Amino acid sequence: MKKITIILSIIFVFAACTEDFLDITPANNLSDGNYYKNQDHALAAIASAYDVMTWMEFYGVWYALLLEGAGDDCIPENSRFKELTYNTDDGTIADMYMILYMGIMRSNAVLEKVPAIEMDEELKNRILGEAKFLRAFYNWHLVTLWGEAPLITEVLTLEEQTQQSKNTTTEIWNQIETDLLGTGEVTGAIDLLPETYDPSNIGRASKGAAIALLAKSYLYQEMWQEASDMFDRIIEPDLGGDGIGGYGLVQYDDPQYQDSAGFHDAYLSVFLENPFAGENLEDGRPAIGGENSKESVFEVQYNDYIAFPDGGMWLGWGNAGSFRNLYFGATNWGAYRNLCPSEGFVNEFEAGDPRKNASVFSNGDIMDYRPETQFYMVPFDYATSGSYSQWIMKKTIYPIWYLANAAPINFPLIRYADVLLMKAEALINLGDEPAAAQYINRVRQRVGAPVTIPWVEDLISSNSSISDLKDALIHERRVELGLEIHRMRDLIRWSSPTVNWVKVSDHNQFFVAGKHEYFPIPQYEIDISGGNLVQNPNWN
Amino acid sequence: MRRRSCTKWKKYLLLLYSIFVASVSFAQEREISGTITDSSVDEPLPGVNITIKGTSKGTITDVDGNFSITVPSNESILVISYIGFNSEEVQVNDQTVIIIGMVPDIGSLDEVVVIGYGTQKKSDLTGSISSVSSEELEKIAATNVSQALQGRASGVWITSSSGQPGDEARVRIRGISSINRSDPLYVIDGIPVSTQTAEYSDNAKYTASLNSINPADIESIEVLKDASATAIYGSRGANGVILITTKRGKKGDPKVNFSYYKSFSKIQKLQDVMNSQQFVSFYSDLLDNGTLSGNPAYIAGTNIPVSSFYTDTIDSSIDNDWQDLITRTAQTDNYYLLISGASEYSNYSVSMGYRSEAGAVVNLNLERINLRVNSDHKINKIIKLGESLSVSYVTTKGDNASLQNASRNAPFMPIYDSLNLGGYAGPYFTTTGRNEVTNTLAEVNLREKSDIQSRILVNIYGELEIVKGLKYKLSGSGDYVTTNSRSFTPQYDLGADGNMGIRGNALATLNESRRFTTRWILENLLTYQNTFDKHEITLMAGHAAESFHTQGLTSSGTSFPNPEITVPSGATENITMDGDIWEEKLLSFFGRVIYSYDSKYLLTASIRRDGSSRFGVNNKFGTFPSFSLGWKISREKFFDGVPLINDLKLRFGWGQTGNQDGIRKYYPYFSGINTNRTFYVFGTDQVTHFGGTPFFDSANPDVKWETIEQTNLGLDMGLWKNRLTLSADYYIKKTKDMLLPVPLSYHSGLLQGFAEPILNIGRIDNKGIELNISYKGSISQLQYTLSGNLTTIRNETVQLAGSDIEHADQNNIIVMRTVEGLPLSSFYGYIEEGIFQTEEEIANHARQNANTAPGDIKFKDLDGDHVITANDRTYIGKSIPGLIYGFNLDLSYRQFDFSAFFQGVADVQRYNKPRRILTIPSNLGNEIDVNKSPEVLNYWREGNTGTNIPRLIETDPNNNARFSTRFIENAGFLRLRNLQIGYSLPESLSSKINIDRFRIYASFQNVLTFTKYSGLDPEGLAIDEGPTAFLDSYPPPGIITLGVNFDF
Repeated sequence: MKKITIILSIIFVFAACTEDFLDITPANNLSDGNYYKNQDHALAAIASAYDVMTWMEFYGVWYALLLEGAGDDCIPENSRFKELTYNTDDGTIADMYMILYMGIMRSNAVLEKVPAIEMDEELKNRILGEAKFLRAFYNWHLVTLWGEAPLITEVLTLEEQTQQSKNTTTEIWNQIETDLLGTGEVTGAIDLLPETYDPSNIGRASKGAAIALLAKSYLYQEMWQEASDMFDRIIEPDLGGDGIGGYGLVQYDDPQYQDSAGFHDAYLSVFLENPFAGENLEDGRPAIGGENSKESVFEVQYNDYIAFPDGGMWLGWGNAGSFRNLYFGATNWGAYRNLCPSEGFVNEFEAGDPRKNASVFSNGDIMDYRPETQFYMVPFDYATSGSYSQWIMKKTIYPIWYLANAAPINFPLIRYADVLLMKAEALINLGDEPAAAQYINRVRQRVGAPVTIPWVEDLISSNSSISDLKDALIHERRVELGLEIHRMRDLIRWSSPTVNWVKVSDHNQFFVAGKHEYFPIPQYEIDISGGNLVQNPNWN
Repeated sequence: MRRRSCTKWKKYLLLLYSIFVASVSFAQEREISGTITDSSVDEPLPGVNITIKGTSKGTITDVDGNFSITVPSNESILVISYIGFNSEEVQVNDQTVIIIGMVPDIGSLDEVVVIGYGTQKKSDLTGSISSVSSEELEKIAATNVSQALQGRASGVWITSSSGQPGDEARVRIRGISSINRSDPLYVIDGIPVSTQTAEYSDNAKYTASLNSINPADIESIEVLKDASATAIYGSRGANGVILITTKRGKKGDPKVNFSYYKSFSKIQKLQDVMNSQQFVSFYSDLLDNGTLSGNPAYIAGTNIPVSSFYTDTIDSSIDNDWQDLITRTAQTDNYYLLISGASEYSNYSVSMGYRSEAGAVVNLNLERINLRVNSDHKINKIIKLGESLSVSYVTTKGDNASLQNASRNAPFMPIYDSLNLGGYAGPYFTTTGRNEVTNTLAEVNLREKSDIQSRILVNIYGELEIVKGLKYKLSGSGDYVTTNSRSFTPQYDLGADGNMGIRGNALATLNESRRFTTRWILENLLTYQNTFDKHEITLMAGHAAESFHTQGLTSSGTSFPNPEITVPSGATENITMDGDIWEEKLLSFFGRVIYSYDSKYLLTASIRRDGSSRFGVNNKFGTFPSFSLGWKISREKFFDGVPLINDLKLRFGWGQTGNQDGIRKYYPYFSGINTNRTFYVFGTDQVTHFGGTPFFDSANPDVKWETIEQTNLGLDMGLWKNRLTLSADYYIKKTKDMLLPVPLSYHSGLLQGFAEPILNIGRIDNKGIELNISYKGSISQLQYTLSGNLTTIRNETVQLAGSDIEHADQNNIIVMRTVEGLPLSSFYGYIEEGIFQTEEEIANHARQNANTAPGDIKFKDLDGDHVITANDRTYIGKSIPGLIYGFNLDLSYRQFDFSAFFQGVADVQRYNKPRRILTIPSNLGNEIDVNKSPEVLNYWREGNTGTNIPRLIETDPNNNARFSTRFIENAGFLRLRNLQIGYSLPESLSSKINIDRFRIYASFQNVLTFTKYSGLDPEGLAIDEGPTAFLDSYPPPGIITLGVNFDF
């Protein structure tokens, strides 16, 4: 009996260690079991929430194909983007839809996991602010591109992920406002984010970016007064604003941009990679042009880091570079030329407006303002580059082929010039045209010397096709913000029954009102939702 | 030394001589007579064998059981033997009339069989277990365990993957129960060893080959099939359990057994391909007349026809048979030495094996060394100790050269070219860059590849008999496997190609990988056995903890400036290193009750509770119950008068088991965090910051084993005193909770198309019957055993995760689908309706292609939309056989023995993939100007419209080669798997040279196959093996073996 006791106790000993024995921490990969534990994890988690913006399925390439292709500024090589003949199974649309939710999930993961991490409180708040900003940013795209869509505010479980149904646009807009402005209980991104960053953190979402995004959201909801007031917070004191963030337009007073003819192009400098930009401000931002200049409110950050561990590039395989040069550059550089500026866009520029030259390459153009470099030396050859457009993009293209596929040039999302023009638009809608004109003139005034373009008042009186300030604003947005993926959203916005400035079908004959304002929800998503998701109007 | 061996040879010669010379009669001989009866019924027995021990002399009884025989002396011993009775030995002494009553041998049913964690009398079994003994294994010179089992046991479907040395067959018990893993669990001397566990990436795949087990070491193999037998293995028992027991010493004098055999193997069937002249005529015809335009193809920018390359430049007097060049008659040598014995307190068994096997394709070789020590020791009345230890070292060398590629090589391509680095000639080229197939022989000979696996499998136990009947056993086991793989391709060139530049290998490349895998198991076992009156009870309770760890390292590099240094340190460029660690743990509690009342009513019930590190956090433990009942009707009083039937038992069992390996991953419940494929740039210096986010798959905290519920109804019968035995089973096997990837929605925010989350949602059913039948009889001195087994499988996919699953071949062509309501992985393609003869016929048929022309293949328009699209595909065959069978004939006549073993499957189809390329007279995809079957010369054309080969057309616009019924063939076959003839020396002679037994034999394997399948081999891999299942590269060769066996 004693022996039995011994044996039974041996068995008991083994039985006792049950739980520990079966626990394994995976050695090869980080997993949710051993992640979100420290400050580095928090910083990495927020970095991956930004990452989504850079993907070729979003600001890299697809977004431009879908939006510029549908508008009248560009001609896409693939006619389905112009003729809007894509269906509910379209892969490009599905990719963009997925990308937005990836951004939302990654922001949600930060908002869920980071609060529990023991770390510097100030940094933690900033990271949470960034995550709120990014969630609002992705939701802004979702609500403007799809209208009603599921609003996801937490990381979904396996069961939940296929069972989402749509939320109303109001609900999504409200969430954007909550994330940016906060509510009684919740602090919003505007209050969590700093006005400026130290040089090593430039590029992160700032207070100004959050304000601009919120103001823009008001504008899109036709909440003119709220938009106007909100814009004022980041508009420079000269123009009566609060000057938060210290934004201003880049001016043409730097000798570095002087070419042989003594020509300075500040506008062009805004779209250049840092090596070409000028002196830095105290906070590290370039005073003149270049990436993250004082004109930049928020932009997608790229560099030429490529990491294709499997030797190819495809969906989801990381890179930190822009693919715009590969997709939109000239065929004779070896690029694809999938999207080219249209004749209508090129003709929109007033005679002598240097913004035309900064926006497009014409046949034979060499970007030779820095002749000592080999960059840009291959001229655009329209004849060998296909024949559907005589121009290719210059703005945001970095045609240095030695970088293979990934270019380091940033892409602007919210520029101060855009802020000024949006402010003007709000004012026009509020009926205050004289006030609105000064913001438009502020943009026109910096354009360039020795070339000057007339004040907007003179433009209206001298140009037969521009009869009022609203027309001038439409014109100004097209030439100032061309190829920055605003045009199609603007046209749709201006065609709303209450604004009624344009008819989109005048700009794209294939556009069907009541259908093409929004993309279809990917069919796959509807199929697996078990009836929870309903297709957007007129897409079935 | 030399002298001695010479003498030895003389001795053997003498021995051989004696075989053929009649024995000399001795002086004291006299005649005796007698009668043999069946003691149980007191009736005379006709046909009983009577031999004089130590001689070949003998007789048999007549119809009345009488016999007479002349014996040499009073010391002579008569050996009386008869099928179904215990043998008797009687010393003659001075008797002249001998009457002997033989006792029926019910022993064959009273054998003890190994069950999980114990043994049981075969007659008391209530579960479904097949058993294969060492005697049966001896009759086939099996190279590995799976080969030894093939066709021997009902319910076990074994397919040889290839004839390549070291390749193992795939074993599936009672159908295919999961789309994931359906490999059975192997338990060697009580140690569960998985042959494959989870995989996270190809690199981390751990395979411990059963090659390390020498079949000669095996005492018995038991296959546990139904749930009542396997449930004791819980979460790993779902696909059946194969128990392998190795030899242990037996009471008696020390025994030495030595055996040797030599085999010659050769591939029996190669693809029939064109010779040079046919090749040139076919391809110049194709290039001149087979173009889409109808005009000859010209070399760009010239008016020289491309065909002139064949007609003008080729030396068609060269006629190489590339398949012949890379195949050979290969030799295998196999040595085995076993020394065993036992005393009152101890037994021991020590063995050594060495095998050197050459593949039937050149440069493929396998070498295996096995060492084994098994022993048991009684220390005192209550303590017993023992161990099983085996060490193996297996080296396989050579690249799996593709016979398929060889069959495609142009016959006019020379073999060697001394001007090229490496010395081999390359394919012929012109400016058109035609003929893409490289020199297969160069690849085979120049590439070095080796895999070395060394393995130590050890079990040590101590057993304590606490009180009479109550035993406690503590055992510890370890399985240590190291694998070392190396492949090196030197720099070589096969000459220049007009378009492609230098062909061959520009940079010497080395890949080396090592893996170290350990598995240790600690087991506590408590058993109690006792008999109270008519109640017999065996109780068992156990606990086991198991830990698995594997660690791999891979390195590669290129450019070896010193050709002598081909280890990793010699590489100068592209040096990479990679490694991983994976772990798995299992904690189990189990128990079993075996109860019998009066050996009439039988009950077995078992339960196991398994906790596994691979189960989700919400399902860490699973419970697996089972029970089975038996009723020996033949022991009932009312059965007494029933004639013929001496044994009748009904069995019923039910149980649930788990398929842990269905979870292909080690840690399926963790979401991987991606840290190196997300980036963002911050700062004026634009520094890349790495991100960290859930990226690949979402965690499923509920993930668990696949559950298989099995019901079994069985019947065992013995007739004519067990001369005829019959066993039948009906099984229903339902796989519930099969793990399937579920759709990942975009809303999840995870990346589509990568590892989708897995959920336990699918269901598969397997149903069928199993039949084993055996008859033992004799005619005069000819004793024979006829036995056969048969299994039917009805497989049905009952439920999937909403969407069908498609399976592609290596060329990414969808050839199978798994859909609800059909067997797993059914062939899915177009239905061929013959060949278009006229333009009118094309016009009236559903549209196929703008360039469809007479001579193209007509496909059936199933959806009636008058266009042939992907929607016109349907189910055109099944890949799981409906019927598996084997039968065996054993004969022995005096000193001769003979056995023939047939095995086959029926009701199954196979995709004859090579036929696509070989018999379509077009250049398909990348297969430009490859050699084809001479059948293509019979292509459809004016004046030859009665053919089934489509028209000659270069680019195949009609897609004649699409996956259709044309390439699906009946893969049923009947194969003479093994035929063996042996001769044993009579004891009278062998004892003179102090040999207990001396046997020589010859065997023939895979020599005869009856099949309608036109490809190389109708056998295919189990379909759950993925795309490689359709490879037809290396069919099992025919093997002739000559061997000897000595017992000292």
